[in-house]
Amino acid sequence: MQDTATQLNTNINKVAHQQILMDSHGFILESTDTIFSTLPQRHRPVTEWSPFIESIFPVLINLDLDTPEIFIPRVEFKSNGVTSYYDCSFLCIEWNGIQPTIVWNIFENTEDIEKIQQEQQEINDARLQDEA
Amino acid sequence: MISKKVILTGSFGVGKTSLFNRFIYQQFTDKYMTTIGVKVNKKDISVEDEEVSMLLWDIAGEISQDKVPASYFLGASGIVYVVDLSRPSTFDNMVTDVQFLTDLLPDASLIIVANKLDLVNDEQLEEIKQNIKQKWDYATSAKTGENVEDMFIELAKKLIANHW
Repeated sequence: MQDTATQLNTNINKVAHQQILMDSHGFILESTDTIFSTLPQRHRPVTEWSPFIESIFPVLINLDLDTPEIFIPRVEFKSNGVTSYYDCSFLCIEWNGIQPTIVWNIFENTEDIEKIQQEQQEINDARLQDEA
Repeated sequence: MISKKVILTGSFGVGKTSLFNRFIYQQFTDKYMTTIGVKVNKKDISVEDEEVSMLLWDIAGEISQDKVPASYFLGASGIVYVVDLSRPSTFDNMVTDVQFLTDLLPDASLIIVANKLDLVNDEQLEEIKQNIKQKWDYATSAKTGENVEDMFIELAKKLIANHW
């Protein structure tokens, strides 16, 4: 997994990063499990427990080896009442002879987003006040 | 079961998150909390003997749609474009936004929603209708729930009709 991670053109300098490899049916082939554990979910496809992945899976399974990495910023996840934000990216590779293998990179971004949210809330509140 | 990605988009503060929360959780709060990025959840509904899983993306509001990250639109089959009946400024970019969205996602089913119906009376509603170029499909109130379910059911019907 480390080799795969370093080969990919992704921003791995952020604080927390998890990399998940999925097959074309959405089953997890490998995961670094550095942000959350996928072990309890390995018996079923990611599409069954993540509406986010389910919603874009038709796009992901049509990625080619040549397709540039797809970056989806600031995705909100809620788990046990805790809200977190992640930047996600997706790429198609061949891994251990399995093609397509979908690489899902997840970068923890909660701290930055909380600051942005506070600033944006103030901006939007001020705009609404002006319009009133 | 048909699974379809649906995006809720429009300017900030128009009530996209409130529509999302009303439809999915049957909840409403008056407190305005800015959405950052995107939140995704799903609701399964039954329409005309078909099961539709609506995978809703509640996207942070932008004054114009070309400011929304392009990747948020990937794979969307449905679009709910929302304006606010109580804020005329949210109508300003309606025509260009709708054009932008239909150019970007020509095969997607689009519904234009005028939200916050509870904040205007019939007379004001008529006046707004007369003064805007782009007509809405549904006037809704996330607060009272008026027309929210009906709007999503109509969208589901369109998604089924476009499914192949």
